[in-house]
Amino acid sequence: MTIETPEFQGTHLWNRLHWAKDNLDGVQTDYRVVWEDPEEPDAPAKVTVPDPNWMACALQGGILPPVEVYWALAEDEAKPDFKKHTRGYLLHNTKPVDKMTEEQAIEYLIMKDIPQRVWRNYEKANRRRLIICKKQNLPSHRTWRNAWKINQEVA
Amino acid sequence: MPSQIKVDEIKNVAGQYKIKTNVFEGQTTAGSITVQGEGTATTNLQQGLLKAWHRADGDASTVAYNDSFNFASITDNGTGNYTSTFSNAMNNANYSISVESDMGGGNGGFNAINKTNSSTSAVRTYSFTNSGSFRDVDPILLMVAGDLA
Repeated sequence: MTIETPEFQGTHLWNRLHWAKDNLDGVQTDYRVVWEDPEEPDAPAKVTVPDPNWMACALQGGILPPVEVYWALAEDEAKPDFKKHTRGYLLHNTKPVDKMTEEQAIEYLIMKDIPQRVWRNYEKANRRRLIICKKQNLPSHRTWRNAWKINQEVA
Repeated sequence: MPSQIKVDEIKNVAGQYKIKTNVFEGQTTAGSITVQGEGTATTNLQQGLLKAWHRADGDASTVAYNDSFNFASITDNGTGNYTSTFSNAMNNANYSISVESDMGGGNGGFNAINKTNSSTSAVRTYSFTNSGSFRDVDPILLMVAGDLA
């Protein structure tokens, strides 16, 4: 049964998340984002996994703010005199994004939670530093976890 | 229709001290509700609430949340090294975090946050063995209190 999202523009995002937690089932996606940070060349590959409740919000639509809102807050926080957010209202007052597919949600999450230096112009980098895969494509055990790197031949 | 009702007690039609509503808002300050605490003390409702929490499996082949509130993703940075990213960011970097984990087969261990790699939008946590080596843990438990953006 589908449930209609209330008109949430202007509602605090935290309250929207409460609504989602009460009304939506979590969605455990098989997608994983594997990435390497060019600022940490010796670090192992990182693996970002969506939160099931967040994924449910993304698939439902009308709950999450546009990703540009997070960029605006990140810009504010990067300023040397930052003490606290003064534009938090952007999270709550900006028109929420429509429902997404799982694939679109993963793209949104990359732009939200992974540093821009990783995914901006990544196709022009001299090595692949980000790849979306299914969890079945990752090693089945963590014995050599700190040696994980993106296989450039597969990528 | 009156815009203000002055009464000392509110009951429902069944005579119970039970009311239903969707929003409580402070009169003097919208985001501040005082609750009678233990004894004669009062406590502030908003400041006493957790703003985010999660339970995650940190030693599965791919790390994943079991359940959570107000998180968008978890990033497995390597053995015992996780970044949890909020949906609704915190208002400033002075929020408080409690991180705990399974004790690790009776050998113990400890957990910590990395202040340098944390921000209003994400928190980096580490899990160690009792000898200080990184270790994967299941579960990794996080609770966050403070002011929301």
